[in-house]
Amino acid sequence: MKPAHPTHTLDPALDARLVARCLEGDARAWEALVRRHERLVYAVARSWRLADDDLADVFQEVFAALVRGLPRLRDARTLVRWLSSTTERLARTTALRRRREEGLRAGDDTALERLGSDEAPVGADLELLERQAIVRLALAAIAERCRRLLTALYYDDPPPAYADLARRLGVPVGSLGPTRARCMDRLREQLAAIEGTGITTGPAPTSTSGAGQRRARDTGAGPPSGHSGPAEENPT
Amino acid sequence: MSPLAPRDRHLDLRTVLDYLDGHSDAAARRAVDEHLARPCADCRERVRQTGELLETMRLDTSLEVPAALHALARGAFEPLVRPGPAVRLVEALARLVFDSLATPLPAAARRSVGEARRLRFQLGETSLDLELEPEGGATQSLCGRLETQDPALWRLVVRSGGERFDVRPDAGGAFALANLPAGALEVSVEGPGVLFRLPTIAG
Repeated sequence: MKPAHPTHTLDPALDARLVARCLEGDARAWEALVRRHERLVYAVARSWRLADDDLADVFQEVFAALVRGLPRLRDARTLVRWLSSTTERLARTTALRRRREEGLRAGDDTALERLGSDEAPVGADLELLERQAIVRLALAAIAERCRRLLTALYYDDPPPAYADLARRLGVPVGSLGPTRARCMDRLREQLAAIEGTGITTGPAPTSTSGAGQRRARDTGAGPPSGHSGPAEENPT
Repeated sequence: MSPLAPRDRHLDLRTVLDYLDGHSDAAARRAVDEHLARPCADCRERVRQTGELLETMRLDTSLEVPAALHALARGAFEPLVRPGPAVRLVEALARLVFDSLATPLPAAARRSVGEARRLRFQLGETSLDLELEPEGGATQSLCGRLETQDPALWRLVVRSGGERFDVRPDAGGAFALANLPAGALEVSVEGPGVLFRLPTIAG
């Protein structure tokens, strides 16, 4: 689909508007908010290899806690942070409880001691999952044609051959390279908007010489520098 | 001003992507290596940042959330402020502003979009682009884009061949429906507080 007027503007305030609507009781805004962020919650919870029922409980608890935490969670970055850490905490608690119960049932005296080490062989790299979630939010905000191209190139495993991809997208092979660069620029703009950073997204400077060279800055794709969001809601 | 020698020019994003994706030939790769080795701190940083972003995407193995879990999350919503009594949606008629059937596209544009029929409607401040294409046999596909601030809060209902199909646009406003029965389409578009009915789209 090639829209007659493809207009895509940076929209860092989307989550804030959805939260505001949720607070006014709008269930559709909640649905949209869930769709934007549920994948991250699922990824973090799955990393703890919970049984299906436990996974479902954790998933539901996180979103129930989110409802209560909404007044304090108004931007994508804070939401992502809060969701990943809350899911991690709930999933970890559930996993440890299960291990303890199984250890007690099996008469394994060392189960509790092993739990005391507070060391789990499972769990996720939260910073990586948060970065991935933010990149997906940015990806969702760019034009569909760009999204399809970048998804095929960088999410499909293995990535398709250029000739196959061009056929699938209905574009000449020769246009993929320039289009990919333009789409990546759009993605970086969205990332910058979500992260609230002033990244360099324009064309590269024209010369390496000169005193006024522009310094490239953070893409926003890297790990955030610290947990600055609100305190976690304790749903229990 | 004399043009810069290639090795003095900063790397553009396309060159960086070709380099990182392994699409550069040996000469282009050597040119990038030489430029980075000048050293050029700006381009090294550009390559590092872009590489990090690509790696973040490539390492993403997250899965779609199963429908049952999504339903649990959706059901967790307990409005802190109860909405007032249900407000009846204001109904309005969408205005057709373009139909490629009535206004044939130039040959070049037809080659670009194929045989799809394209329509544009004005829905108050919102606009809706549709592309309708026969799939062969007795079905057709409908895709499009809703240009509005929060497309995820909108919903399209399409009736065709006695069946009803619901679709929600994604965050960019795009949506697609495949395998619709061929024939006329009745389309309505529901947004916050408003319901637009489109004129019947004849098959």
